[in-house]
Amino acid sequence: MNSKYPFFKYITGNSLIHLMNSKMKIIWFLVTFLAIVLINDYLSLLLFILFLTFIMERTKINFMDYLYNVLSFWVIYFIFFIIMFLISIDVNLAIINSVKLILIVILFLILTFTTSLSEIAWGFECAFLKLKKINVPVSKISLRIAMDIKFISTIFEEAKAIRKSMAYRGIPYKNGLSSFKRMIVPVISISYKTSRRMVKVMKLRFYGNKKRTNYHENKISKFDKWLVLIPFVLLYLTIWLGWC
Amino acid sequence: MSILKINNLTFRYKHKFIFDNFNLEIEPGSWVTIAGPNGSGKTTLVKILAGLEKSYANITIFNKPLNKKNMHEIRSNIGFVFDNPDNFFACETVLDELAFSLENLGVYPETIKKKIKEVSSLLKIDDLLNENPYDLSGGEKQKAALACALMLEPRILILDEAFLMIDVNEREVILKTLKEYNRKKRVTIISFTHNLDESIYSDRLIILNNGIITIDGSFPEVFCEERVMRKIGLEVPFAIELSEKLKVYNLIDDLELDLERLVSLIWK
Repeated sequence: MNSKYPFFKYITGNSLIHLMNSKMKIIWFLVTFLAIVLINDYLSLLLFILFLTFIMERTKINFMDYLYNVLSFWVIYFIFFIIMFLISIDVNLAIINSVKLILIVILFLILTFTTSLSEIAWGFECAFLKLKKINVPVSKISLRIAMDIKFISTIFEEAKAIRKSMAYRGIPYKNGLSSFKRMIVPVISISYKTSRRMVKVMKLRFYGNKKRTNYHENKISKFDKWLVLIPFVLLYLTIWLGWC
Repeated sequence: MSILKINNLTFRYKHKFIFDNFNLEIEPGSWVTIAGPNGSGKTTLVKILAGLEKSYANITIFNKPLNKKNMHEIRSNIGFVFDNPDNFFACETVLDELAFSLENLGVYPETIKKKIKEVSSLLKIDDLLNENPYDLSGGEKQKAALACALMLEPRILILDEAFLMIDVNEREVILKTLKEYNRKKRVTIISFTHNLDESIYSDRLIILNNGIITIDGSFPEVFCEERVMRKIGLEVPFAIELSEKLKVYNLIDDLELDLERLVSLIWK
């Protein structure tokens, strides 16, 4: 991995996407995610490729950073393509689904590159605020989701560190099952320790309090409204083009 | 009336007793340094006070027993700074870190903004606010962690080897700032360290060894027990060593921990 930035890590900035209202950003993310999952034809696929390219450009983050991160999952796309092909015996469906997977990775990258952990948690909390009335622990669930998203970058960073420390001890990393087997136990144990540590830190820093505020609360701008509207329109088009 | 009181603390790790019938009282507004070699029980005591380790004890903080019921209220009045700041961070920018605890306590964004400005200029970390805390140097991380603790405007500030990664000059500046803070805001500071140079501004110095208070007093009183300190593995600061020798020859009246002041005394 040659990327300057680790996987799914927040990159500070002041682009329109960075400054979006957290709640609107999460709604945008969820609707776009749903629309991508429902894509069933090439035209919708093209529309979403153009839409996400536009968003990537608006984030003012180096395009190569996206590219390096997206390409690092090529094995998964390939395996996914083979599985889809074997299940459906339809090349078109396998291609559409594999590209959909790439688009989902890009969507996650946009969210994690432009939104900090606390913003993601806050966004989910605001988006599902109504559920609090029926005693759903929205704060806890939203933090859990935010932590899980952040955890991807933590695991990759830990794996990188373990690879380096193994190399210092004379065990060079080679692509293959035996190296993977050597890595998996320390990665799991460190990740488990990290998650336990995070729980303690959150307790110590009063997370889960009922009256939470948000220091960053950005007002909902016209751009936010437009950006949330577009995936709704695209969702409608996707259903109309692919399913009707 | 003490602000923190520990009565009959007993704590066991596996089969080893870390504390057995340990007692401690701390006065409000004082700066107390608890020093001791590795394994003396310093970090365990911090964890117990933070409620992260269960123990059998009668601990009262702000005249309230430290239990599950009072934990939230007590914690919101204590600022903790741990030896490894990486274990404390939860956000992706220093700014978010500073705001995080107050956001969780429901403080209004305007107040948070004001406090961030105040604390970041006090510790001179304005240029670090947009950095990722994990990407900072060790010293910067500890300053950021200290800033997070000060954001709460705590009544007690607990520092666990909080200056370990900060260089000598920077440490001196931060210690002076903290002394000023301690004097102005009447904040009780409890500093846990193995480096006695950090005790320079403390009003009381406690030497802890194997979970037992070996020496307790003001720093001239404690440094008179130089032999005991060396025996348990604590290094006596150079300024103390030198001033002790100068005192023998009647060149100075009292022990001096501040090297600069010592030099000016010699010049006189």
